[in-house]
Amino acid sequence: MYLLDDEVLVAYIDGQLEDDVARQVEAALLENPIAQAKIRKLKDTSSILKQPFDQLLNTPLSPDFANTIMSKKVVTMPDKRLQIALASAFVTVLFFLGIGTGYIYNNYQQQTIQKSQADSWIQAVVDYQILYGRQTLENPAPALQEVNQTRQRLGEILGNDLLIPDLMGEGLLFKRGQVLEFRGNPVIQLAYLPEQGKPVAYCITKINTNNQALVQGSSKGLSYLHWQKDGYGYILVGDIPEKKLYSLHKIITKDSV
Amino acid sequence: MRNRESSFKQQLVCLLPRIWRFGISLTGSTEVCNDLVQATCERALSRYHQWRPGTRLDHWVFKIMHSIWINELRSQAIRRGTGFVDHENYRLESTLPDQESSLFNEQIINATLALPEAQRCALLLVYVEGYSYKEAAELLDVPIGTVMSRLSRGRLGLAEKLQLQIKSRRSLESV
Repeated sequence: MYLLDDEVLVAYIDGQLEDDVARQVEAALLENPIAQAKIRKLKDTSSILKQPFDQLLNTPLSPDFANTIMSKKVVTMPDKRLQIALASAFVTVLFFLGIGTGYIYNNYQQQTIQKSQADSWIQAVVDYQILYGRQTLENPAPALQEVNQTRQRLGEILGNDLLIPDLMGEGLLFKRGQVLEFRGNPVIQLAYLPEQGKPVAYCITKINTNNQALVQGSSKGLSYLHWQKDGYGYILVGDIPEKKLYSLHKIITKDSV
Repeated sequence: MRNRESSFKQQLVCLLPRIWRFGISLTGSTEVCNDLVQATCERALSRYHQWRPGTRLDHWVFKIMHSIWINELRSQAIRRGTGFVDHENYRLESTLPDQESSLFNEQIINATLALPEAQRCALLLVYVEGYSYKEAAELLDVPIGTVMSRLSRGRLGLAEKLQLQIKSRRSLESV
């Protein structure tokens, strides 16, 4: 037996029940004369409201209502929100402007320092390399065991594993590894002797500045390549064509520190 | 943009009679209803940015009106003694040729206005404005079950009040 409470009966009269529920209500109504009487009573009230209340629509209204609507401006954005939004936008702009300016300034300053530092140590390396002649490296090439010992010793100084690049494919023979110093920091210099011409040096030092892409330059008759990566600065320098320099760089970065 | 705002205002003006009618069902008083309609119009203009074109303006405005009534004006009206507690007898501006029909309509309106506010409001929205239970529930911010309950109690209460009038009217019509 379906529970025929007043809400269900009203919803049934109004056709608001699901079909299966409505069928259950109809079945229950057949056995419930009280509910049937209630249905009749309720039905009377469903249709009588519309006409009287529609007649209310003819009530003369105060012209103030229409005047208010037509004379007042609509608010496309509430003042407070607008103010808050504008204030937020202003603060945001200032904030990012500040960050942007600071970033640009810091970046500029940092780049300036970096460039200055890089220039200094490049210059130092170049100046030192100028003094190199073929005779400087006339000693016989070290044996493999000695190379390994050098590699280990210099690596400890550098604070990292050091690989001594094999540049024999480019005609450069590894001759010597030594520790120099620039502004209190160790500089590892690996010297190579080409088949012809002056020695070529590959130098590594620890740095505290950001990575820097490969820069090619020349100074005092020597060509060099400079780059910075993962806390280390590198210079490849020698009196050799740029193309050759890039070929060496390619080999070095493949199996370097 | 100007056209859109102008269209919004025109629609709002056209809606005024229905806004006022809903106001009467809420307040049960012409005086309080006028205050409520005025406040509703002003609020609708100030909330224009919240209305989405393409949606039902009447539903949106009624919701605003209901909110103002519940949250602001009802308590003031009760304090002033002009609120929903005791409705006034409403006199229709007769637009029907048949005086008796107008009188009957008045009786129905007054019987409806004599119902508790929540019930008469639900009756008006569903049986006069034609909203579904769901739409009415959304507008009044109550569950559908509450609307159903208000409708059933309202209709039973109305049936009790109007029983005699309906019977007598039927007997007159059958003559």
